[in-house]
Amino acid sequence: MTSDVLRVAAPRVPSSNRGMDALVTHDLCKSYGPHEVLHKVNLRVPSGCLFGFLGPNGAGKTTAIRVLLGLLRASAGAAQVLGRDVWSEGPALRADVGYLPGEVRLYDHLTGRATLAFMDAARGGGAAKEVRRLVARLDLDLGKRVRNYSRGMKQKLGLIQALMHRPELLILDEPTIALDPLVRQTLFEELRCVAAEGRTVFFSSHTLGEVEKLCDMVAILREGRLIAQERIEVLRARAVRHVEIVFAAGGASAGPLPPGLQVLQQTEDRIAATWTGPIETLLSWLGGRAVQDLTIAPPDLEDLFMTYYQAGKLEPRP
Amino acid sequence: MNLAVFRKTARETAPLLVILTAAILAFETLFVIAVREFAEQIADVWQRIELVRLIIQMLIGADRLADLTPTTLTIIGLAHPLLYALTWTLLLTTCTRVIAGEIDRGTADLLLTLPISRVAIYVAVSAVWLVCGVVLSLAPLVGIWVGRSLVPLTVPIELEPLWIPTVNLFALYLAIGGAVLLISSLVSRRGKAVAIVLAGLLASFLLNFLAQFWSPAERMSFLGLLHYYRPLLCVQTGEWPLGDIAALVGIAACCWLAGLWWFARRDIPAA
Repeated sequence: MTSDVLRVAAPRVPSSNRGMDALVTHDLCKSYGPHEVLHKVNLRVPSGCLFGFLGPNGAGKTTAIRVLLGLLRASAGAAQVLGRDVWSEGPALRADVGYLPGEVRLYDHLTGRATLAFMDAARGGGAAKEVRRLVARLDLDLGKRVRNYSRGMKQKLGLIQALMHRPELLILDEPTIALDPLVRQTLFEELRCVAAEGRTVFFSSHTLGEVEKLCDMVAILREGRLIAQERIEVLRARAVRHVEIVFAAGGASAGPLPPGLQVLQQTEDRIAATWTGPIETLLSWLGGRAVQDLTIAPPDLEDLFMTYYQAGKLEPRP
Repeated sequence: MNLAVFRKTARETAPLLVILTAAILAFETLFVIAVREFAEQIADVWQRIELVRLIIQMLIGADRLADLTPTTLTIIGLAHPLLYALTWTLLLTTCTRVIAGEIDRGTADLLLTLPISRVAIYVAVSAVWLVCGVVLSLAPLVGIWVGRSLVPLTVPIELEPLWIPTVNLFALYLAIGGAVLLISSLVSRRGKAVAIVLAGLLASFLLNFLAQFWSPAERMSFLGLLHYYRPLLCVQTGEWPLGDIAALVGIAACCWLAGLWWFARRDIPAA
């Protein structure tokens, strides 16, 4: 059994789910000649979930998304979105999917209004009210031609077209690029509302911070392989915490240290270390000692993700 | 067919169609005026200068100097390189816009993730291409009619026999358009699609020209699309060139279907 399969744990389905997975892939592969971009990717995204799809640049995130949307044909394996096969039932399933590409390219000669009118008409209409709401929320001038839009405005227009038909599944590829912090905040609020309604958000990014802030679950892709798929809190539990313990005189050197404690610096009465594992174990160990002061930092996912991202290793550091 | 895609493609094509149709109308009208003013000189040059004779023979598909009338002289206007250039401009613009053009610009990512099948998109673009073809193919005939109305000739131009080359011209338009759609489905860069088609058309043009005086080229001339468009012959004989029209429509249908088949299955790369 390969190590990537070992790392992928079946995620728990959030309480807001609608009884099925929004997105499932089974041994999904995509190759260009001898070059394999995706290797046996097994993804499972429960409905109603805010799902983060993480990976360094070139990991294969965009290729995976393009396969899920029927833009690319899988070389092997299967993918289902909202219970439908992505290739043979593409048009029908895309009625319930909203998509924002990594680099939004729109029709330059059209105005923002004409762009949305075309998208709405092509989808069968009925999105006018939602468009008005989203335009007001994201504060976008629809009267200008797209060629006169800034990058941020194009991104907003791309977001509106992805959201305007209230899709069951929203696939966003690096959506926060070019957005200022205020708009980013608005977008996150909007996405939380989407998930609260039981709809699903598939959020691709290479930035841990925004995924950690927004998502319930995360999958990590590296070199075309899925190396982890967990709920954020499970990852947090696995992540290291920086701790600093001040003992009564000489207490730091008394007795053996618990296995999860990696000492960074030690004096007679002070230990600076990282802790990996359940916090109860550390507290229980400290309970039998004379502790004068204790500082435990929140879990540092950055360290864990850096380990995942490092090339040449498929297993994270313990 | 998706109406939204049809309307959008039609709106994008309309300005160019109007300009090109007006240009063809103006050219044919002026050509009729030229026939009245310079008929003798045209016939004289045609008969005296060998190169001109070969070029005209290549364009109109026959070497029949007998029975030169204003109607047969007008045929040159139906096979003039300017008419070809104007028609091909629209073909290359329209038929490469949605597949190669959309991929090239990156807008295919949004278009092809709408709940529309690739077949429906292809059919919508093809519908615009067909409508444009009808307008462009009729434009020369309308231009001749306008010219005939403006400058009455002693021996009037007969419009009825000109329906035959008009239909043949439409069949040629279909064959070239089908080939452009096929190439556009195969590649991901619009410039590449245009370059391939232009190279093919120029090769066909050259082959047709060489075939007038070089027997190896004559034997291969059936490979060029222009071989199947011989307006003078059909006007002088009054017979419908059903074989030529069938060949052109057959090429159009094969290319169109092959383009559809490939487009429906191909990967769409990121721009």
